[in-house]
Amino acid sequence: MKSRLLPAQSDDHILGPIRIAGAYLLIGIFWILFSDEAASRLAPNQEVFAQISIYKGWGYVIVTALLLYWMIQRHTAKLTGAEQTLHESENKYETLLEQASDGIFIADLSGKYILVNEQACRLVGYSKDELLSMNIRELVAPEDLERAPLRLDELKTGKTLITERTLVRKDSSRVLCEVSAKMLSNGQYQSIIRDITERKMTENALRRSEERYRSLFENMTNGFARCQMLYDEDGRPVDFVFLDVNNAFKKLTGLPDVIGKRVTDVIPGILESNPEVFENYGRVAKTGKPEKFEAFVPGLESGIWFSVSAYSPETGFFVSIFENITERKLTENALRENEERLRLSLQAANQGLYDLNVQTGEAIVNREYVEMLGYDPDTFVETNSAWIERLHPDDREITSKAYSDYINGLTPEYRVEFRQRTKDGNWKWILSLGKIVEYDAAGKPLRMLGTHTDITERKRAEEVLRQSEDNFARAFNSNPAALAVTRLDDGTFLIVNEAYVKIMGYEPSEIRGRTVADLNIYADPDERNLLIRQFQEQGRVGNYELLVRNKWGDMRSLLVSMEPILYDNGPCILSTFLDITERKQAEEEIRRLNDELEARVIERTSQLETANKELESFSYSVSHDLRAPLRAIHGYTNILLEDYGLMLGEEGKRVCDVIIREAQRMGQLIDDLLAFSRLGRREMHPTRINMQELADTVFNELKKHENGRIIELQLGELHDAIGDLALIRQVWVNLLANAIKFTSGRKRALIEVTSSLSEDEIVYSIRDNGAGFDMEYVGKLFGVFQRLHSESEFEGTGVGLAIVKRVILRHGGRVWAEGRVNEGAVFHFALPRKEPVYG
Amino acid sequence: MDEMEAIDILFVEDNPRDAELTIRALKKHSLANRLFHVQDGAEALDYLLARGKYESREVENSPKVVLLDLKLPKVSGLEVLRIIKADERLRTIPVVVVTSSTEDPDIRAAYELGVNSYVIKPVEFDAFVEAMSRLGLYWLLVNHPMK
Repeated sequence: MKSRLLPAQSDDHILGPIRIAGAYLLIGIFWILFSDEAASRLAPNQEVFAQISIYKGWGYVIVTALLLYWMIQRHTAKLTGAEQTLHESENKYETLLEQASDGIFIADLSGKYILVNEQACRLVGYSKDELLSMNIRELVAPEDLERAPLRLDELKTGKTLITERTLVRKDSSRVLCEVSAKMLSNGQYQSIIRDITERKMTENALRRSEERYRSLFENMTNGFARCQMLYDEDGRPVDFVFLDVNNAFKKLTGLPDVIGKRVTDVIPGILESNPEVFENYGRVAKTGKPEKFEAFVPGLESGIWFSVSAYSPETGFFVSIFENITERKLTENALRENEERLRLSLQAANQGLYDLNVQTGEAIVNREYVEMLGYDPDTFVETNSAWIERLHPDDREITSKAYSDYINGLTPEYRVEFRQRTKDGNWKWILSLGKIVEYDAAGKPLRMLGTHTDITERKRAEEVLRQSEDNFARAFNSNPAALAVTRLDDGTFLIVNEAYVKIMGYEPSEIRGRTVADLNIYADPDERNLLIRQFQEQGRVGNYELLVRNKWGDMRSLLVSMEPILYDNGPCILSTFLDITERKQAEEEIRRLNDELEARVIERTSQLETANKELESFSYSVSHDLRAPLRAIHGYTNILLEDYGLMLGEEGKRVCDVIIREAQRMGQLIDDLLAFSRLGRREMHPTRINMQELADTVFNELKKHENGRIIELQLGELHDAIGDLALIRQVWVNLLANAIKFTSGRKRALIEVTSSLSEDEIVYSIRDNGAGFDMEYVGKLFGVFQRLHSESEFEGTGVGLAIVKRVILRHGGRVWAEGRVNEGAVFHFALPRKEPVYG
Repeated sequence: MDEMEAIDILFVEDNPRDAELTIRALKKHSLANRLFHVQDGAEALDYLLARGKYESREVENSPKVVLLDLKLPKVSGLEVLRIIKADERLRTIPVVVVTSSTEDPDIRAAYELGVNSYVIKPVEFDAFVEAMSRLGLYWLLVNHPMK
């Protein structure tokens, strides 16, 4: 069994004798070929040569013998050593075989097992004897054989084949093994078989685990980067190289293809902008202690905030797992800024701020909150119950309802006004706004943030406003003028007062919310636009006369004034109406009467004109027809005197003279009467008149007819006048003629003419020292045909002064006179300084 | 006076008193010898135009002057005047209007129609005679009517 276990004989067993024989052959050949040649070269002669040839043969035999001995001796020693080694090796092999942890099977060429170890028996569950009667093929699972037939031929090439085989154990269970098969030098097959079931399971687990991690690694939303840290000469971390990154890395950083690159190349400027990142990673790579930090990298896109977890798998390396928290950061910043702003603005607005724990009733409040209530901010502690305690009793119900409604989600917002008792016992109106900002896990409100605003002043102002509004409403409603407030843009009625209702007939409920157009109030619908335009251009409208239609369709004339007011949070018009319908009707009546009057005046004027014409023709008739008989009386009396004078006697002649004289007088009366009536009809042509010159001229003309009388005229400086020259001349004629006539009894007649100015008149006075008159009859002085003296005293028809009066009156002036019997008289006439409207 | 005779004065006056006094005044100055007196405007026109009872007259044989009262029955003095001044054959005859008063509105109308002169009849007889005489003398002796 031992010998059979021995490996094949070593080369030395065969090669040793061959080498010895070969060496002998080579020496023999060399000797035969070269010994004689060498001897002949060495020998100087034949003799020496012969000598050498004898000793040469002897030398050869001795050397050969020595060489053979040495070689055989060496070969034998070698063989003995090999046998010793072999024996030891056989012992070692056996020990190894039995102690091997792997099963070892040795089979002959037919596949039959010829040697197995203990481990092999344990592996497959057969005894050694059972195994030694078995063949390889019986032990390998048939399905395994089918899948991979034995490759015995391949083994013959000397290769070692390592395969995995499923073996069938004695109890028919399968065992997965790793088989390392080799053909031994003696042609036997040696298989070393290891149970790898466990290893396989571990491997699978590992593989699956790795796959899982790889997938996780690739699919995780966090960025992942494995990097090698680079240090400068001083050992400071100054750069790192990306060794591995995941998909998320690219997504989060926007950097493609970073593997193998330096971060300073990938994100230029990062060393300057983020030195702390290098410090952090360097520390992690150096100490191996994981760290977490946040970093803002401005060099990436428009700046990215990262949250980073770093650890080190081995010194000098680190792994960074990070996420992009830019959004969150911005939100956080915004939130923080908002909170800060809120806090500041609350402070600025003197608003109290509370942060209430809804569940415990504890509250954190700011300084303003406390000071609002008059307490000391350093010692004040706020709780929900304290707050309720301070509530005004009248406000408790409504306030707690608002609070509980909001907390229970019944109302969307918490906004309530209430009174709180301050420290000194007064009440303050407070507006409280609140919002739940946090809920607990069960979804119940946890935190409520809110503000307190002191609205005491506002409340007071509101009260004042309410009173003022009450007053306004009373003033508005009880105003006797009709009032309406309409919206500026569309004319919608907001309120109207009682007076308006009375005029327009619409009840407030009928009119409110409707527009002017709806109610068709304006008689002319375009008039509203006109009014509104005027209103907008001038800011108001005053006393605009408007025709409107009331509820019953009656047209009313209203005097409207419009003032801008703010009402109901919008620009409105306060319109004040005065019903002038009656007044208008009265005016209309007056106008109608005026028209009628005018018509009557025109009619009367035309009648007057007709009458004037008639009067004219009457005058003509008078002068024509009355004078004709006078002429006849006068003429025929003359004929009587001329033809029959001698027969009449003295008395007859005297009678004829009287007839003639009276006829003449009657002619004069007729002429004067006509002249007087002519004055009223004559058209006036006012001019500026030099009164001094006029009076002088007239006096001189009149004086011519007074033969030999001494008449002195004292003519003062007379102011000019404005009037109709012919008529004023007539005035001077009549007055001066009167003066001359009534001074005829004086030896020396004195006529004094003066003028004086008053504010609006020029007064001319003609004074004489004549007969004068009795002031008792002064009223008759200027009447037509009125005479204060008898015909026998002074001639005259009594028309002269009437003409004077009439002329002066037509000039808008006046006349008057003073006198005493026998003491002269003074006549005044006054003309207006301004040119009057001549009647 | 025979209407067929040539006359110096055609005297148109309806008032017989005025007529008598006028003629008497003219006579005093021997101016009434060739005077023909008619009492209304229609007769005056008939005479001048040789119509009606004067148709045997020759129109051309016209008076040296016409003394015309304006207030006349039938055809008024103004109408007579208008016709005289509108007629080619008569228009050169001087016409003197004799009226009672300066008030007479027809005086103006008379001037517009082309009257040659007018005279107011004064109430006083002497003045009347004087006026008439001057008138007669002027038109008959001084004026040379166009022929």
